[in-house]
Amino acid sequence: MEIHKTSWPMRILVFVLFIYLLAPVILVFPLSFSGDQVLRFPPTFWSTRWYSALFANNQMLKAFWTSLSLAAIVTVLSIVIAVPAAWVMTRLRFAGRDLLFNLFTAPLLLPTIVLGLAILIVFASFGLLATMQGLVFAHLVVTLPYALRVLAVSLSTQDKACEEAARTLGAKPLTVFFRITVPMLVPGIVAAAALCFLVSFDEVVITLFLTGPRISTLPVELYNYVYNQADPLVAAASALLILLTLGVIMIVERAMGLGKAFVK
Amino acid sequence: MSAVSASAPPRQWRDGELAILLLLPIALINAIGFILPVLNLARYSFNRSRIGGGIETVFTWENWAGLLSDRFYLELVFNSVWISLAITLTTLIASYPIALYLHRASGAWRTFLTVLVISPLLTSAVVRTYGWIAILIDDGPVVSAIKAVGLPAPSLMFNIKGVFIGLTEILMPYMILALMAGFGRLDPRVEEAARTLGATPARTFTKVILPLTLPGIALGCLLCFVLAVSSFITPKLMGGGRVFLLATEIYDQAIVTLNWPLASTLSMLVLIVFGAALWAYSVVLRRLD
Amino acid sequence: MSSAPEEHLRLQEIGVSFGNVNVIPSLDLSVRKGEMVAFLGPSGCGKTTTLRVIAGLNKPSQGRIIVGGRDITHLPIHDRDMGMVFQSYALFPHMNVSRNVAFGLQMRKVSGRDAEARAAQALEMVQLGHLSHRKPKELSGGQQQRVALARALVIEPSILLLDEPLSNLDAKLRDEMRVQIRALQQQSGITAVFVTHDQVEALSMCDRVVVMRGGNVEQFGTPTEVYERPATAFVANFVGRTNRLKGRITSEGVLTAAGQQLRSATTLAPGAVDVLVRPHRIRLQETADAANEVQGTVSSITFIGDLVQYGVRVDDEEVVVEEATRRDRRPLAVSDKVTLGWSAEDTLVYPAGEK
Repeated sequence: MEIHKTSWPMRILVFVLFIYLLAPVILVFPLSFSGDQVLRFPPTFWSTRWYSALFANNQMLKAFWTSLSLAAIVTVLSIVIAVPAAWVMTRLRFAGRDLLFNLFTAPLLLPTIVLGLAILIVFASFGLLATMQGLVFAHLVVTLPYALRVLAVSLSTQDKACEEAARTLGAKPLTVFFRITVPMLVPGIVAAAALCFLVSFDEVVITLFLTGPRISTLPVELYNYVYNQADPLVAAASALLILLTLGVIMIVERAMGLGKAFVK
Repeated sequence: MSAVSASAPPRQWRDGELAILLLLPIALINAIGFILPVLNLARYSFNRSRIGGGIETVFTWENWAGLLSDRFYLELVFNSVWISLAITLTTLIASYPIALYLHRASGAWRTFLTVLVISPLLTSAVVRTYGWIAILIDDGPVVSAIKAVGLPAPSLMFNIKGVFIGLTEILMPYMILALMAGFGRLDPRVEEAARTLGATPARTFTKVILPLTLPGIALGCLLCFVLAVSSFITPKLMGGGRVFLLATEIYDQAIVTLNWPLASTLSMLVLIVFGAALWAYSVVLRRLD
Repeated sequence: MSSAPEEHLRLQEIGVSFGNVNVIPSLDLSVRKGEMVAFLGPSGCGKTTTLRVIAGLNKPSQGRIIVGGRDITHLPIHDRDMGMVFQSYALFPHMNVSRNVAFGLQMRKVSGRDAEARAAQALEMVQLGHLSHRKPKELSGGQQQRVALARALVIEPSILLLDEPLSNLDAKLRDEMRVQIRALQQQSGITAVFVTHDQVEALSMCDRVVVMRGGNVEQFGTPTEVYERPATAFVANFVGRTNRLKGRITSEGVLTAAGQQLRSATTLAPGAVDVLVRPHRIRLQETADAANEVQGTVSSITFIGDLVQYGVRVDDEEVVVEEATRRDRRPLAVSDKVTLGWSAEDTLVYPAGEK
């Protein structure tokens, strides 16, 4: 269509805006190979010293493993809890169903700074501050709404006749669930799991309220590090984090297409 | 007809019982990790803080009265709202062309660009803020470039300018996605019709495209405003302790000063600002219909 | 009902409500062993709901379902032993064709090798043995349909339930599948219930047809009975096309319509009536032996290949007449005066206003 040929000024504008949008993410890669002692771009010479420094930093490594196991636990629990819940929301008819769904997804609407403080005050009296259990619980509050949403959409677009067909063929309800419903839901589960993993792994505001010297996550450590000094060590960590994120995105893309996973 | 063997209805799970059983875990987490803390937070805003971090469980309006009569906090609220509005506006301006371009793109190119838009969203705010620090720092590429042209070197870090630039970028993906969702109404044929009827590109934009995309704009602005008011990481790291906003103050009161009642009151204030934003949004939407 | 063949399925006073909407007030039906019965009706007439009640997928609010002398009203779906073919086919997307077909056997604890062999046999029966390792999405619509059929038949169910199985296929494939489904049903001697909104499917494939409207049975009979002696004006209109003339029966029992006296095989109480005559049962000009004879003027002529459709104006009313294309007579032209004739048996009379 002739009219729709985007004009050159418009294309240049879009290009510049894309540069702006992606600049901070792209920049950390060259910066991570800086040989300089301080944050400087472009670096005066190149080296891998900051990667060495990162892998020698025990505090960062410990935080990384904490984040990784935290995200893994949270992801598994989110799926285990959200799959039956999403099934109830899409397959059973009962009064107050929509109200419950809104309530269960409501934590997404609350600013994390408010939610973080609210959880801090309650957890303080439960003795859950700076514990793994506390972190898992707090992260579940934020990841479950995402998981519930993605899974409910997947389940509601599934052909219900498949479940009915299995019933008429002699499968009991539980058999139908594990042999038909869940296998058909795999793409949705992968998307929900990836989303939960990323949300938990990247979560920083709520976690800041709940961590301490005893236990800390990678994003919190990075935050503290940047708050105190800004040198290319964080660039090396960031570059690795971005690669990890890309890996997770590629898994989702393989499983169901990124667009479908995020456009609710 | 032969004798019919009758069978009584067997005991079966009723839908309601099954629902309760399967929803129990998520309901517990929601109740203990969301409802209880938020209600408790509201209650805390009426408690009294003792010097040294102790808390007296009373019912007092002191915190609220204190906030509303203290110039510092009034300015804090005013600044937060005003800066968030300004950031929302720049985010809109920076996002609109990308969203429009994406809306018109098609096929693999569109998918690729959409992934590019979404990918920053999946990158930690700490990482992206750090990237902006590297770009805007005193000897960084932007300041060097400005100096190279012979202009006076601006100071972009550890003040509101840096927060502004960084936060705009961080909110752009949200705005772009919201705009694109709203652009569904924008049928390319409408534009063509306007052009064939003799409208100039500028008039087509102001008279046709803009009005049709207003719902998307309203949604994106609501989302970004809400996120800007509650943003914490970027102002904290890029403001260098010199930028005071509602969210950073909540954190400082909660963690540094250990004045939880005051932090709770400020949080309630954030929720009130949210409510106001939602109300404004619904008014705008009703006007648009 | 006739006493000779054994009754296999019986619905007794079945009622179904969705919330406050009473979809089926009270329905009685009896299906004989080995016959294929069609549920025919417009959408929303309750035919699919009735089928789902038999399968157990919908719960009746009242009444009983009896299969082979056994009350199955409260039996859970998985114990009912029904083979159902869905409109969307409902093949399991994550299993290959052979596993889809074997699923019901597995649920019946048939050993792995046995199940495989029987599934292969069932697939041969629908000529799909060579595609057993494909995933459903790699098959055409017609092939998916046949897999669904094999999956339902392989468990040797007590009743085969078909829910609009042909409506997603194109016309040519539909004709083929009609023949194939009927042949399979007759070979296996299975009792089958076939839901459709397509009268051709119902009349051509089934032993008997249940015409439904608004949750009630309008007529239950053989295709010929339903077509030749529709019980209600609705059935006459829904099954085949028909002309409708306004008429009345005098207190002496004389039927008049189109401005003159007519003869009919049906007798009805005096009052306003609708007179229905099928277009192809009306003869033009040759009316020597016709019980009813009416004069009219040709107002339109539509040529449809092997048929010619005439619109004939008769006393303020438009009558459609269909005639095979013929060469032995001068073709009629618009405004020609014509004589229409038809027999008393073809004159169907119903109380006026019935839809």
